[in-house]
Amino acid sequence: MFEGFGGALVTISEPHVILTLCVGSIIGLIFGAVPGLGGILAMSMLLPFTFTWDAITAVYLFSGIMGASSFGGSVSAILLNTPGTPVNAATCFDGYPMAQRGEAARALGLSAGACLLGALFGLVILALLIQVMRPLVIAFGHPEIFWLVVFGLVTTATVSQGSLLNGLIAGGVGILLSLVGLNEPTGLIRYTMGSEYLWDGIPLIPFFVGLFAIGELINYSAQGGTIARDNIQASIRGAWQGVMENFRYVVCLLRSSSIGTLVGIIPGVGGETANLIAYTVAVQASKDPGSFGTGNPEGVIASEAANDSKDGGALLTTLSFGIPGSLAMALLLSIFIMHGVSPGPQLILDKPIFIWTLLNGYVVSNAFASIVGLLAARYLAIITRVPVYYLSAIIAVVSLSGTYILRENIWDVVLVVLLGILGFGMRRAGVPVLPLVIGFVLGNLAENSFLLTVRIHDGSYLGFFDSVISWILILTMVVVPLIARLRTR
Amino acid sequence: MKRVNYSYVIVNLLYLAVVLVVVIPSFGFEGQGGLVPLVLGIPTLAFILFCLGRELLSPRAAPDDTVEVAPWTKAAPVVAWLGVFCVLVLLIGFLLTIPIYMVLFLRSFAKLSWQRCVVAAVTVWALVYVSLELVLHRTLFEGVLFGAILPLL
Repeated sequence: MFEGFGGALVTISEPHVILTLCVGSIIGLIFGAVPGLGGILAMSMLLPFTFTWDAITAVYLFSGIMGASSFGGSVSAILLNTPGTPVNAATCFDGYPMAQRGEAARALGLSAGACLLGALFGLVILALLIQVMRPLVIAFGHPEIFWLVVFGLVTTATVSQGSLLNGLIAGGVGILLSLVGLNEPTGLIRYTMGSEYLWDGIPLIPFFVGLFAIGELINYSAQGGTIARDNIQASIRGAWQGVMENFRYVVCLLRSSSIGTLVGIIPGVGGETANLIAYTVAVQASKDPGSFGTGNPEGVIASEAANDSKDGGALLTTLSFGIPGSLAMALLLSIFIMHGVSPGPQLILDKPIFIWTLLNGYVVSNAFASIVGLLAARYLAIITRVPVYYLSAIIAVVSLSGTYILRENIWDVVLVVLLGILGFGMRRAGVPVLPLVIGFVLGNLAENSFLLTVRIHDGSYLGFFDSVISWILILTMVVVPLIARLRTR
Repeated sequence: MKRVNYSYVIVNLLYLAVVLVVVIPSFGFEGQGGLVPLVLGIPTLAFILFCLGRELLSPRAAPDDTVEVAPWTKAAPVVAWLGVFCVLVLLIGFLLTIPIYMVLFLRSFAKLSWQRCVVAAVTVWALVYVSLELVLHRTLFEGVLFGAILPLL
């Protein structure tokens, strides 16, 4: 049941892995704490630097960043009333009032404990469900994988910012962009418009760095004022009390963690939704709903536990089927691809060590981030007062030079800047970025599974409809947007 | 207030260009080379035309989300600075561009003192040089003025 667990435990005890995890966690904490940056930006910026690393060490770095950025975001939410990342928005509601009445350390302790316990909850559920998923994964042939890709795109488009149509267009364009270059099954070189640069297709890492790191950089540099300026009052005295208080509100903790894990499983529904749903349910379930928003510890626990547990759910679909449900998961998949590890069913069947590596790294980084985050909360908050231009210049230089070294092609740098402008334009236009990215990552998988299904069935398209799994996916795909539309009305 | 969201129109025009670049040659591919691009491209094309038509003929109120996004007028200088970075890298390479760009950007755009600019530039230059050239043993682009050859585009 737990094959690969032993191997992953051995790797995590190696000094360079521990160092990588610590560095990843510290970077995650810092980027999480600074409003406007976030773990996604850190991951996309550092992605090119890891290409010479072995896959497991790279996975540890990124699991460190992912695990720590959420708690980093709660530090600025509690101390400055500014969520470091959007997924910490609900933490402000009660965390900041607690800080205002002199209980900042207690609130930080609550958040640290909830982050760690929520993450553990999500990962335990993931570890258990992933075993159950094995027979299901084996039952997935080419038609089912094709429908799963379409299902992932439709769900993502449904829940993304803006209308369903905008999401579908972005997903479609993402897939079409992924088809540029040499098509191995047919041997055709397609859509390069005579450019030799595009023979290998649009490179994945510059695509990410441009759309996320540079797109976001343009936005907050132009705004200029995203970094907080409030006075910071934080001492770690009383933090331990906050950590232990999580066990006093164990029902709230478990309920919020369950909500987070469930929401995480649904592709495209991110932590923003998970933490707000968990917070709303906590208010509704409370005997004293009026105390929420004035510094109720359950508010902090609900938000942060849901936040960190959602990653366990999101990892389930990402690892089992190779369908990323969020930007962080799409980045994770690209890390696997960059290091020659095929995401999806083969990963779970052939390389369980990667899954356990990721889980171990995630648990350790959460624990590390909680401890270091508590000790360094005051200094983390001070980072948010660094002038935004420093960050902007540093991120631009590091992202662009990092992108160059990946293929040593200077046109990649130009491509990153152009994609950054597109990323900013999409944000400005209110058009979702997530379906474009997920379409781009899954485009080749969609085309290959489509063509193989047609070939296996001698040119007939009926092969797409001859299994129960296919029909379940098709029906769910039709029902999900309908439900979303009805709920909107 | 209802008015045309020009960012939305531009993004959709870009999408339209991508879809046309894919769909038109796909009709000429033999075998299954153009099958998926056509199956996917034609509905996407129809959706884009519908959205563009709707936006231009009966514009909707701008979505609230764009409030959190800086206007183009403020973003343009940042984009211009990124353009300057690209041009400088192409001409004189990374190792000279990084300190020059940092000092110029921080001094003229961020209005920081010369000392702070130089300290920041040297720090970031050292970070990039040590991590990429010394640790990863990669050679950064040296610039066409110093003999570097541009790869084929």
